[in-house]
Amino acid sequence: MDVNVTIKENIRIRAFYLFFIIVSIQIGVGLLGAPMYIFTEARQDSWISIIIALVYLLLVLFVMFRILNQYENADILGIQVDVFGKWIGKALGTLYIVHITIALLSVLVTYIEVVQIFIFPELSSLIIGFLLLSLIIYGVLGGIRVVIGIVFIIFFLTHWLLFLLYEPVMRMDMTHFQPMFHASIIELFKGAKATSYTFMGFEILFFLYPFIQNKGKAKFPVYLGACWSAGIVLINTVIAIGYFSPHQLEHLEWSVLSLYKIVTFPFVERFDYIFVAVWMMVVLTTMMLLMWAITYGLKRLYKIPQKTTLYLTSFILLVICGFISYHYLVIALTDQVARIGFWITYVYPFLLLPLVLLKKRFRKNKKGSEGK
Amino acid sequence: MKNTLLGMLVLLMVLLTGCVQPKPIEELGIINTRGVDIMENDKIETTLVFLKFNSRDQNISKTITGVGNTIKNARNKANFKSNFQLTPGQIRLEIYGKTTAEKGLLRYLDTLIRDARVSDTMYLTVSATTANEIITSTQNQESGMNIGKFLHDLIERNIKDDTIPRVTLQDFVHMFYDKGQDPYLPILSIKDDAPAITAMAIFQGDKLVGQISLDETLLLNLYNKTFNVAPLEISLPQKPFDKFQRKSNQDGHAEDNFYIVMTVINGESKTKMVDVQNLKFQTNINLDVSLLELTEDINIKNPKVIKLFEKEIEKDIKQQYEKLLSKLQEMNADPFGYGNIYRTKKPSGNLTDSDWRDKFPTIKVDFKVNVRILHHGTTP
Repeated sequence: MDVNVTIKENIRIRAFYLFFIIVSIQIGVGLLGAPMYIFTEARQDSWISIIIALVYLLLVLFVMFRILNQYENADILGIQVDVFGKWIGKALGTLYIVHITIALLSVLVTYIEVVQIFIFPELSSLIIGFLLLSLIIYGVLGGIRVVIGIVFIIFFLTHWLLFLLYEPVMRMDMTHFQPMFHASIIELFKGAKATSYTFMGFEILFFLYPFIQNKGKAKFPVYLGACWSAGIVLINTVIAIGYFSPHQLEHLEWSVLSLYKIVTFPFVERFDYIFVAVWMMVVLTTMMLLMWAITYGLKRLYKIPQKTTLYLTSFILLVICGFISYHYLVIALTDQVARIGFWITYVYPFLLLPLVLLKKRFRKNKKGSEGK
Repeated sequence: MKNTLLGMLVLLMVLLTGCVQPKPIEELGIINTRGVDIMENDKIETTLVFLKFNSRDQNISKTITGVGNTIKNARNKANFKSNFQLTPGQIRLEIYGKTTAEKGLLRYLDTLIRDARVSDTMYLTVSATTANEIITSTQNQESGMNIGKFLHDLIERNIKDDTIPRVTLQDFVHMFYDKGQDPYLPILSIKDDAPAITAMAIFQGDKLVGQISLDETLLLNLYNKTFNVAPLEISLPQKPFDKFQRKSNQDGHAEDNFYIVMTVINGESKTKMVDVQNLKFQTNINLDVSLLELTEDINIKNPKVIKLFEKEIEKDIKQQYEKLLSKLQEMNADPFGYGNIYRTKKPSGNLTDSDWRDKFPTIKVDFKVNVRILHHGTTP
C-alpha cells in the first residue's frame, strides 16, 4: 500500500469546499441534543464551555494539518502504515473505519428515532433506514465530487432554519444566565467534553486531504468551518438555556427540536414537523460523507471495490438499525461513540504528530548519511 | 439499467404507501379543545371538542366526553362514542376545572410535555366551575357556534390586546419549573350564557391558590412584559383638581373621585434587588400614556395640571401595586418572579421552593411609578 496517493486531476476539489464539508459533517443529529448535555455539566455558563471546545477544536485541526503537511499527498491510512509499519498501520486504519461506521450507525438510529417520536410512531425502523440508506447509496455512487455537490447545495437549503429561532429568542429569560461565571473550571471542561459528539466528524479531513487541489489555501476554510459550526451550537445552546427552565432543559432530549415547536405560521401550525423533514437533509450530508469515508478507506486498505463495500455496509447498517429499537440502546450507542470518538478524534492526533515528526527526522538522517 | 431503476422506483412508491397508516381527513376528528375535570372517584373526565370535515354535515364541531384514569385513556374511551378517529395534534386550548386545578396540574402536564405531537403553543385556562360546563354552555343555542374556536379566539384576542398575559403551555411550564416564579392562568366563567374571561388564577407551584381581578392582571402583565397600546382606567381623587375645574358641578361635589381612561403607549418595568439581606426590591415602572377620557371637565392646558395628573396617577398605580403584592403575599404565590431575581443574587445561584415560600411573604418592594402623559387628545 502506497503512503502517498495520486488523485486524478478531474476528481480533485477546490479547497474552499472544505468549509461546507466541515460544517455539514459537524452539524447533524448531535446538535439536536447538544444543549442538554452541555447544560447538565456547565449549567448557565455553557457558552464558555463551547468557546473552550472551539479553541481545542482549532488546536486539533492545527495538529492535523501539521501531520498531513509532513507528507506529499497522504491520508491518515497511509500515514499510519508509514509510521507503524504495514500490519499495525493497517489494523489502526481498520479501527478508524470501524469508528466511522459506528458513528454513522449512531446518526442513522438517532434520526430514525426522532422521526418515530415526532411524526410516524408506527413506522418501522427498517423502512426509514432503508429509505435513508438508498439515498446515501445513490449519492455515494456518484463519487466524492457528487457528495460534495450535495453538501454544498444542502448547506444553503437548510441554513434558513436559523432565522426561525427568532420566535424563541423573543421569549428568552435572561435570569437563566445569572449568576454568571458560576461553574468551576472542571465543570467547564466537562461541558466542553460534552460537545465532543456534536463536533465530531472533522476527522474526514484526514481522508479528504489528498483530494484538495490547492492545499496552500486549505487551512482557512477548515478553521472557518469549525468556527461556523461552533457558532451554530453556541446560538442554539444559548437560546435553549434562555427559553427553557433549567429543570426542564436537564430532562429534555432534542431540545433544539423543541425550540421549533413554538414557531408557527398562518399556513403551518406546527413547524416542528417541517423541521424534522428538513433536518433529514442535514443528517443525510453527514451520513453521505461518513459513508464515502468508509468505502474509500476500505478500498485504500484492502483494495476492495467501493461499490461492494458500499452495498455491504449499507446492508449491515440496515440489519443493525432494525434491532436497535429501545431508546436506551440509542442513547448508549451515542454515548459509546462519544467516549471512543473522543480518544480517536481529539487525543490521537496529538500522539501521532510527534511520531510522524520523529519518523521524518529519522528518514532525513538516513538519507543524509546515505548522501555522504 | 435505467429501466430497472425506474421499475424499482415505481415498485417502491406502490409498496411504501402501505407503510404508514393512512389518515383521510374525513375520518379524523381533530380535537381543538379539551376540558379536563377530576371526578369524585378520582377518575378523569375529558370533554373534547373536535372538528370534522364532512361536506354533507353542516355542523362541523362536535363535543364528546370520556372517563378514564389518565388523559389518554379518557380520550380512548371517548373514541368509543365516535365514528371518527380522534387526534390530539391540533389541541389549541386546554381547560381545567377548578377542583382539578386546586389539586394540582402536574399530572396533566406530563402527557402534554412528553407527547411530541402535542403543540407547545396551546393555551391553558382554568374554568371557574368545571371545564365541561364551559364547553357545553353554548350547546343549547341554535347558532351552532364552534365553541373551541370561540374560546381560543377569545383568549388570543385578549393576549394580543395586552389585557391578559400570554399563557401557552410553554409559558406555564417555564414559570412552573423556574424556581422563584409561580404560574398563572386565565379563568373562564359563564356570563350571560356565554363564556368569558373573568379573572386570573394564581398558582402556587401547580396548585391553584387564589385569583386576582382583571384590573390587577393588567398590572401583572405590565410588570412581566413590555407592552404598547393597552387601555387603563384609574380613579383619581377630586380634591387636588378643584381649582382647575372649568365648570363646577351644579350640585356641588357629588363624588370624591373621578375616572380617567388612558392608553398606555409604551409601558415597561425594571426590577432590581437593592438589599439582598433584607429582601428589598425596587421596581421601576415607566408608562407613557395618552389621555382618552375624563369624567370631569378639567382644564389641562396648564402644564402644571399635567404634572399634577401624572403625580396622582403615579400615586394610584403605586397603591394598586402594593395592594396586589400584599394580596399575593397572603396567598404565598409569586407570579411576579421576584424569586428569580433573588436567586441570581445568591452566591450559590440556587433557590429551593420551600426557601422561597418562607421568604416571599416578607419581601419588601418599593414600586417607583413614572408616568408621562404625552398626549391628551384634541381637546385641551
